[in-house]
Amino acid sequence: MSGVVLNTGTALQADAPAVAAQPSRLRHFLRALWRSRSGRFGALLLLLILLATLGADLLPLADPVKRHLSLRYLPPVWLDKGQWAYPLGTDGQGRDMLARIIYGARSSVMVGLAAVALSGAIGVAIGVLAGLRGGWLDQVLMRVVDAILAIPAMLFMLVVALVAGAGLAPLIVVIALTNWVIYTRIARAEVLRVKELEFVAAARVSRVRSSRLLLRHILPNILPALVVVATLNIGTVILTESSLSFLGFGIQPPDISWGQMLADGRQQLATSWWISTFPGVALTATVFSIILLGDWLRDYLDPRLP
Amino acid sequence: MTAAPSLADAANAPSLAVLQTRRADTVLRYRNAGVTLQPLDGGEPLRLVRGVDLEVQRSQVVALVGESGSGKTLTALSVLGLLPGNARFSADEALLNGRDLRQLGKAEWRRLRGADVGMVFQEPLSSLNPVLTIGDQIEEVLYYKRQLTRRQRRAEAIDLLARMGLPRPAQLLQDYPFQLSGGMRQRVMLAIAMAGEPALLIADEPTTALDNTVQAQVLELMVRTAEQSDVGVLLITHDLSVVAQVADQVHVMRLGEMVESAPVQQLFARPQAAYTRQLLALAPRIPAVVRQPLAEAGLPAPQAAQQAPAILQLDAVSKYYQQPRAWHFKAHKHLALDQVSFSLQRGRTLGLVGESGSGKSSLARIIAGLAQADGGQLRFEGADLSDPAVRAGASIQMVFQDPYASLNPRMRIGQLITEPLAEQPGWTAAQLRAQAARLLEMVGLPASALDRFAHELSGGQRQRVCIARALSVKPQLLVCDEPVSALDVSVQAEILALLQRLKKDLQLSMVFIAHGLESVYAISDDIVVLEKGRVVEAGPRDQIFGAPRHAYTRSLLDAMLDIDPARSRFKARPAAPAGAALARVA
Repeated sequence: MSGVVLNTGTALQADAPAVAAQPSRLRHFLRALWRSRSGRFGALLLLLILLATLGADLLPLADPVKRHLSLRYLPPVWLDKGQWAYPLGTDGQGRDMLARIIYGARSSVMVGLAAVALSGAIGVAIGVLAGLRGGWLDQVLMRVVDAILAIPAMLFMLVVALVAGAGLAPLIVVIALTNWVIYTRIARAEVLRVKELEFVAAARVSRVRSSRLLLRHILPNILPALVVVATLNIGTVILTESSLSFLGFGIQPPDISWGQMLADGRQQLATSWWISTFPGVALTATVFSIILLGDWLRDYLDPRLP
Repeated sequence: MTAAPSLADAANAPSLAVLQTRRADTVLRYRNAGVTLQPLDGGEPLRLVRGVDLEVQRSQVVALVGESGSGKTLTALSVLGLLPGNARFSADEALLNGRDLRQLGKAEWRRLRGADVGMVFQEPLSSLNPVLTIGDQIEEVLYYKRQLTRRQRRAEAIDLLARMGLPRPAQLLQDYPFQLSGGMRQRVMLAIAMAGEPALLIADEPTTALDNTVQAQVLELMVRTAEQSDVGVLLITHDLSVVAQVADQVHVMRLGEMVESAPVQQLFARPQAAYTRQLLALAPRIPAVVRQPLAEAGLPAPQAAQQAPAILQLDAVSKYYQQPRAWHFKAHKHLALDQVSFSLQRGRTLGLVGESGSGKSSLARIIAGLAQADGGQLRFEGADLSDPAVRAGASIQMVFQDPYASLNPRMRIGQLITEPLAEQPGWTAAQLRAQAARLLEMVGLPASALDRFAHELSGGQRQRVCIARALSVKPQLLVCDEPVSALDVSVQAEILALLQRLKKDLQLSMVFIAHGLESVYAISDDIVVLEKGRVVEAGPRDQIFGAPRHAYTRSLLDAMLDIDPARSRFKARPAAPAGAALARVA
């Protein structure tokens, strides 16, 4: 062992990780994304949706809230009586469907992403805590989770919404408050699995700090399951938003959301199907693109997959 | 090698004499068989197995020997029609029980499995369905393969279990797999495989997951069953001592090709291929001299008065595991370690020996600080390890059994190795990287491995990485919990040699745990024998192996299989031909 002299350097950046300098992480990420067919498709679709949403004001769209009582229930342009001015038709108050879908995406996508991010953060933190600490704390936290799961979600949300009031921010909080429990359960189960693996034991034998144990060893290895759940969850959350908006909480006119539009068209489904179908298609496309992207992301983050 | 000379060679084996009085028919014949895999991403097709000639007679045990990646399991799966979907089987001739395997439809394969060929897998727990009773799983085969009535099925299942030497077979039918021990599960697996009255039994590493004592029983059962039921056995294994004990004919495979085929005695006595010779030389063994009973008289007195100070001292260490019972507040206490005391001198290696459940691993975890003792005291260089400050300063590191699970799949090798160091102040990233390269060199890996991920390395390379990680903080005591049992024979030898060298170079002290007594013998200075959490015997290596005093130690040693076909305990064989003894000296 004469050849190995342990170096006790004097520099102070003791924690600087020994990461090999990667040429460019972003470029590598984008190139890998482009190479995957489903990842590319999902990313492009989502990009299209986001661009349309953010740039809605720049697009030559009709005013989404302006009513044209003479042009009620106008069908899409490719049907009889369709007009080019209203490519996807109009709703029961003569408002342009295309403009409403694009403007509605703002609140729907916003609610979906924000509520999932918020509930994921709360849920993962609590789940990891419960899984790592165990004992009475685990018992108490998981009983709280069970209790929340036992209360009908819609009822719970209505009660919270009653206190919190209507609007975008209260809506996100209300959804997150009921939604975090699924992340808690999954994060806890994954932590229980991962913390028994030998590489965690090896790190503990080396007395690796618990913050490092968590960030380096546990979180990256529980991430795949969470990514999958989160991507599926975004769709559910957008639908929850629509239910709440429909019941009079959450987003209220004149603000637009896909949920509202779905609810509006419900009565005319037999006669004017486009009123609820197109917001539904928009919702499906959004969720689909996020799922494709999430699927790809999970594989990308796993070094075992080429 | 063609079938004709091998038959002639085997003619003096008694099993063949028996065979000739019965139906001397061939159960399985492969000529020039191969398996080609078409990669899913559309790359070049891989010829994983090629040019395999194989012949199994009734009542004959044919062993397929090779290391991981040799294609032995793929060959066996091709007999069952269980190759992966993107694999293609080809052969000039492939006959199972007179049926051409090359042109079977799905339904024909289904009829064939279980009825013509039965299979026993390595891991008896995962190959039994946990939610069905033993009875359900045996009777299922009897129903589908032999269309017996309910009453017949039950009687037959009881009979099968009794033939497998299982106690109270009638009650056993109602038991679930988790209620049985590993050896019992493997007997049940054998009963299921035999339930369809197959002509060929394929056993894929059937005893690798079992303790030595249980392994001997299961092997004996398998050999006896094959002889009584007139079944041919295709045995897949990497363990040459198992081959020596039970096989009649041996095929050695390497990288998808058959390098040698010979009757067992000829193979061990006069190995032709260089690879076979290498395998035989690397197989761990305990010199016969050590195991002579005469050692009892002539052995020098154990060097009790060793001057070296103890680096690790255990004093009456106990450990309980509690299982809280539903609806009871009284917990069920299971005693994993009972008053364990021993001491380890600096610079020596202590081998911990015992069957599974004897508490070896619990002890390793307690020494490494992964678990707390419930009683007794551990002293490291005289200081009490229960004191957190002492524990934090104690330079104890651990190497684990499974090199696949003990490396974080999301970190690069360089980061992994120096992680313990990064916890200490005063290291820059560049210094850590340089140190990682030095550590890799120490364990015989190139610096190019630094930026790899664990999955890009082989099992042996991973275990080297684990050792490098443990050594990064210059430990004084290294705890190795079954460090070689997941590895191939030749890799085992390499890792053991590496540990020996490092121990000498770095003046390491070691606690070495293994259920393979041969590897314990190869590396240990002292031995502690554990039985059900209790130390039954302790002393210098040669004393324990040469003159065991406790009955349990003797039973462990007796369960070891001799790597000499002439001394098979399961098969009567004529004396070894000249030359066999010569080969054994190696």
